Amino acid sequence: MDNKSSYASWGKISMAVLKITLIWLVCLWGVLLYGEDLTGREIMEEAFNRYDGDDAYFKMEMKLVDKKGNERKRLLEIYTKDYGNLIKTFIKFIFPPDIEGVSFLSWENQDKEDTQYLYLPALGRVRRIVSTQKNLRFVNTDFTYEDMQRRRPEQDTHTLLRESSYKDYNCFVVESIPKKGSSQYSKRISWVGKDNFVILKIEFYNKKGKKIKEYRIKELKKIAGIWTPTEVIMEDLIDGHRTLMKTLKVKYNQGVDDAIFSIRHLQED
Amino acid sequence: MMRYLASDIFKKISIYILTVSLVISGKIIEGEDRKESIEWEKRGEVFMRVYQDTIEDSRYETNQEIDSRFKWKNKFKFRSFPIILGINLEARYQALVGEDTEKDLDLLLKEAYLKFTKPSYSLKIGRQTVTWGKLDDIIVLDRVNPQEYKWFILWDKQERKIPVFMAKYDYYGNNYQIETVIVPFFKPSYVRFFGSDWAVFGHLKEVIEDGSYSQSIKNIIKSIKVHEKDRFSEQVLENMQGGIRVKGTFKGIDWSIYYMYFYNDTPTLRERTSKGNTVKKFLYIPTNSNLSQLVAQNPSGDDLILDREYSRLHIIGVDFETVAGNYGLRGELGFFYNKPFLRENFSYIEKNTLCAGIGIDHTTSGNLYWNLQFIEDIVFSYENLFSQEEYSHQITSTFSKDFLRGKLTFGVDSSYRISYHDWMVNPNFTYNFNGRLSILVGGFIFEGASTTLFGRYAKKDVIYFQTTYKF
Repeated sequence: MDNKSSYASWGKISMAVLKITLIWLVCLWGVLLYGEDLTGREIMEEAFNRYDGDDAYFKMEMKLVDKKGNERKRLLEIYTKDYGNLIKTFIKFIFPPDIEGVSFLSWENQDKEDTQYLYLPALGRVRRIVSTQKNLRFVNTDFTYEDMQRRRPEQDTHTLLRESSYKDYNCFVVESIPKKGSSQYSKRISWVGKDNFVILKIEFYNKKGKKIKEYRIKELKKIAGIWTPTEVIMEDLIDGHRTLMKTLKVKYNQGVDDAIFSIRHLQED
Repeated sequence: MMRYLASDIFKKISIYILTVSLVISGKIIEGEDRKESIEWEKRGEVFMRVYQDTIEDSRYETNQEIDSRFKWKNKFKFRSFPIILGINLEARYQALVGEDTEKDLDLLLKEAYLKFTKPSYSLKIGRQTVTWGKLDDIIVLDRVNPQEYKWFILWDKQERKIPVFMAKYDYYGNNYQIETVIVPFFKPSYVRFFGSDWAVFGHLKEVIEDGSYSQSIKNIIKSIKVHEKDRFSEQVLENMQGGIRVKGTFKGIDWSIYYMYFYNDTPTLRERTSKGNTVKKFLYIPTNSNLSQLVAQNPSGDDLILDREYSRLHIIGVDFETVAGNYGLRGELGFFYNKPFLRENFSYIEKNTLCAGIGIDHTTSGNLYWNLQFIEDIVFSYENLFSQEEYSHQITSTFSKDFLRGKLTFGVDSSYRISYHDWMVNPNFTYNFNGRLSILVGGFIFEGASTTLFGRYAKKDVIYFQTTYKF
């Protein structure tokens, strides 16, 4: 064995040892972390930073159901892509015909409100829209624009209330109170899976402290190694209206083209 | 009848041939791998509007008007080639029910284009529609397509647009885009001068014809004609128009800069002789004294022929759009070199003008949407003009609110021309049954002096009912 190959072998062995050590350290850190009491903030940061793919494509069915049980169905396609810690999203409605072709583009900005554009076929042009009116309903669903956006952990003060279970999952129950009136809600209480850090249920409280809405995951699947809520429901507890969202198709890490998140694509597609 | 089909027949034949060949070639590929060859997006709608005149002011008025349209939009995306083929067809049945009932059936090739796309550019050739500018339902810079004013402004500007044959080349830079359009043949806006409620001079000829006037007066009025000049109606490259727009974003503000060399596509009447000015004076202000003045001049031949004039415009413009807090802001400004007007003596003249508009919109926490726009027109080197002040101001507004989770919408659009004290209001209720079928009930109210834009139709207030089915 010459020196060169000897170095190579030792190199390989060293690398293997290093990897094992690193894995062990990560596991140890995990054990320590989860073994110790996690704070509410840490739990919500874990949930926020949970890996959900570098990019993703979803085809969703949205059902709007009023308290009498009357249903309205919508189909939409969603593309998202991570750019560091910022996300770009493109949404296109494909059903029913009165909103077919309506498209929406959103770019997260660092320390600034999102930049959002809307394309309405009847208008024939892309229109810049306000992203700060978070309390408005998203296309008449029970989701507001605030509910549709990612909420960064630093925007709230989090307190771990207790541990509980939701469906078959053991959960942390975390209360989040918005800082400086940054939300339409006075607080949220979230059920976060202890094993997967998926937010499984959220209760929304209005400024008077009354519970007004509830978000629940009805079905959760692991797709391409990523925990994916495939059926969710948002229920308005005041008027009995609810919105069900079902994932019909999902693809992760397909190398979604950057061009999809451009104004050009918004007006051309 | 078959208006567009007749005038553009050669162009359309070539587009049809191209279309058929592409579809056939696509089908050949389809046989091998159906999913991978062509993606066909199609959607359509059928709607019918029935207008009912509120008060029958004269027997010439149309009591009921029916406007029904069938639209079928098709887009073929060829996966093997960077090509998109668009074919939009439209069928219209329109009827004016009154003293002289008029029915019209049109079959239109609304749009037919081929678009080649590459990452850094695209080229779109064919009959198409372009939207420039940022303001809502106001035309400052959005001048690539002519407008159809057959129904005055009962339809919004997008619906009124007449697609024309053009080439559009877009270049995409890192943080900017350059759009160029070449329109080889001139097509004016559709404006009717006589013989309908919405014509500029309404039923003036019929009123004189049936009135207690002498035969010589009737003959004079009957002989008044508005001609299209040959050089405008001929499809010659001499009438070529073009424009360029550079757009980008700077510090959160979307901006565009424009240069256009277009025709003013709304006709202005030009006299052939000085007596023609007296003809125009009577048409625009149809009083007995103006009629007597016209008759006293004993006009004949060329005196009674008025030409539709479309002046060449050089337009330089800018627009912007941004958000400020919870408000959307947008604006347009255009400088127009050689815009046509009528002097107070009704002779034709061209003046340089500036038109600027700014708009703001907002949705309140109660889900009430409002949109206000202010538009200012300035005429340089001003002299007394007919129905045109040196500085004129206009306000437009839109209010709308959804009920029943968007099933029911109440909206009010209005426009008030401050300088001329004329206005228009369009309240409307829409009920959407299931995302396919909707019904709309609305009205148009026009007020103002008879020489103003909206005042001209002050006796033409209508209520209307519309059903729409989308598929």
